[in-house]
Amino acid sequence: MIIVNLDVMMARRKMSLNELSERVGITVANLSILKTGKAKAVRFSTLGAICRVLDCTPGDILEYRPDEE
Amino acid sequence: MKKTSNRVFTAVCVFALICTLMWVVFYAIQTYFVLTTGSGDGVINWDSPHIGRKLTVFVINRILILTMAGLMGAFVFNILKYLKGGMIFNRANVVLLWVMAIVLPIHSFISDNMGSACSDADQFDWMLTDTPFVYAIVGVIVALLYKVACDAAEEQKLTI
Repeated sequence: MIIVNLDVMMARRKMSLNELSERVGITVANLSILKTGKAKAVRFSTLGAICRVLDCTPGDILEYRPDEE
Repeated sequence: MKKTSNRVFTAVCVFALICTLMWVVFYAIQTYFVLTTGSGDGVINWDSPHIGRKLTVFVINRILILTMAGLMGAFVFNILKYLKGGMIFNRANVVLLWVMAIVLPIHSFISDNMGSACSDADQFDWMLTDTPFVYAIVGVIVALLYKVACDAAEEQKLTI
């Protein structure tokens, strides 16, 4: 499964959800869906914008963990 | 959703609600005349030896009309409710469409037999045409398509 580590990166950059939302250009509600791992897909444009604002790579935000059987 | 589309959808939904209401009112008036006009063609033949069966078909028909009107009204009302949030597809309507796909063929079968139930003839013979099957097929196709569209809309909504 894919784990979204957006909250970790936001904490490292000391950035609030509101600030990230304003700078990325997506709503707080959508950002919250992404942060809590409820999103089904992420657009490359959104991922690119988040990486630009947080100064990181997609690998810093997304992580793959094998499902436990 | 664009404002224009929103207005068009609202207008269509309100029109559908008015039509459903008119449908119920029309059959309420017709029910009064069928039951009070007396024996004859187009109304209940009270002297028929099969009056029990004829009346049963008539009552089931009226109940099914009310059920279908309720289902259609709820369907349109749900669309109007979710339209404010920019969505016309919702899970409640998926369930309503599946129920309609079951009720509609039964309603069609009973309606086909209303001619016999409300006739001057003493006899009552059950009639089965292809109409209930056609309605069943169309109902299932519409319910399936709506479900697919609902799934796609939900996925689109959760694509950030």
